[in-house]
Amino acid sequence: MQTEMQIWINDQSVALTASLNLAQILAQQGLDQGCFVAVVNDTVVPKTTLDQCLIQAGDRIEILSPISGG
Amino acid sequence: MQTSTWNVYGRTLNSRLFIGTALYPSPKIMCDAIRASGAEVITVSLRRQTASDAANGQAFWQMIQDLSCHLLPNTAGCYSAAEAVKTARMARELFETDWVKLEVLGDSFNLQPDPFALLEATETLIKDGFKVFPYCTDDLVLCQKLAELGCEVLMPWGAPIGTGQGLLNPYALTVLRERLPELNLLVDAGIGKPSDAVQAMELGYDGILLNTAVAEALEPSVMAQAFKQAINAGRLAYEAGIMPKRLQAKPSTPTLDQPLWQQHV
Repeated sequence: MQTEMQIWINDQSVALTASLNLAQILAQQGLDQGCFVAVVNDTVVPKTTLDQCLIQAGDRIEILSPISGG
Repeated sequence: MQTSTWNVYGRTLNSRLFIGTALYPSPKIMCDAIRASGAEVITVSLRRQTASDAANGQAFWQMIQDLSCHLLPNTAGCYSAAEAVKTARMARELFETDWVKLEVLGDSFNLQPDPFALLEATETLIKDGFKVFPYCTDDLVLCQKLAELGCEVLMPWGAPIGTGQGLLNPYALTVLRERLPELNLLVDAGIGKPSDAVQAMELGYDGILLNTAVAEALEPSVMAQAFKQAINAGRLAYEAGIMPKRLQAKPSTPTLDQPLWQQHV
């Protein structure tokens, strides 16, 4: 039986069955499309290093994209 | 006649209007209005993405890129320095610019900037290499401290965001212009109609940042043109030198050689 690892994506709980890097998690969740920025535990992860960012249990990931603003 | 160019954090601009991208009836109307305004700087923001709205975010991003304007990301909705700093860092990565319109709000009723948190966030972001455009009140001492921290641009409010009340405190805005002659000053927020913009530009302000006044007009593109012309007229008037007000009337028609019976002491 695989051990589940719980992380958070935009405040939603997500259970992982394997240790993955950020690029793999975003692809798995369909969040890797278009223009976005990823933040892990309040630290911005440059787009060029998403696949080097190994996600640990309890990590909090935020994904943000452009919207209109005044 | 066009006004002189100006320089903002090393970038030369022709237009003195910064315009927002929010509240338009449709994306097409937004693009048409921005093009009609002649603005070269547009404000944008960021929000959490879900898999279902990724396509919308991408469509907006494509439209923004097609406008070929400089982007000024904001930290709208932040109520603490820490939140604003975090948002600014995310925006830098997302929009690939070190410019940030720094908003740190202190009150939810009038969306008034929190001067203390604004100073704290400004200091952190400038040390981090940002070019900060602080949305601030018209308080002179606050503005002086923002300048001391290294801001080359200040954006005091004319009135609370989205109220369209125009310049509520022309005296304070005049004093800012007088005391901070080297800084780029833009009135941000509260502009409701083109004559408000003219008033600010005649005071010597370097530019205007607005959104709602255009986006909520019945014809946003037409209103955008009206603001473009108003800002140009106000700046030209300032550069031309406005005559001083005086109490006593002075005839504009020469009185020399008038018939004696028309000469009055």
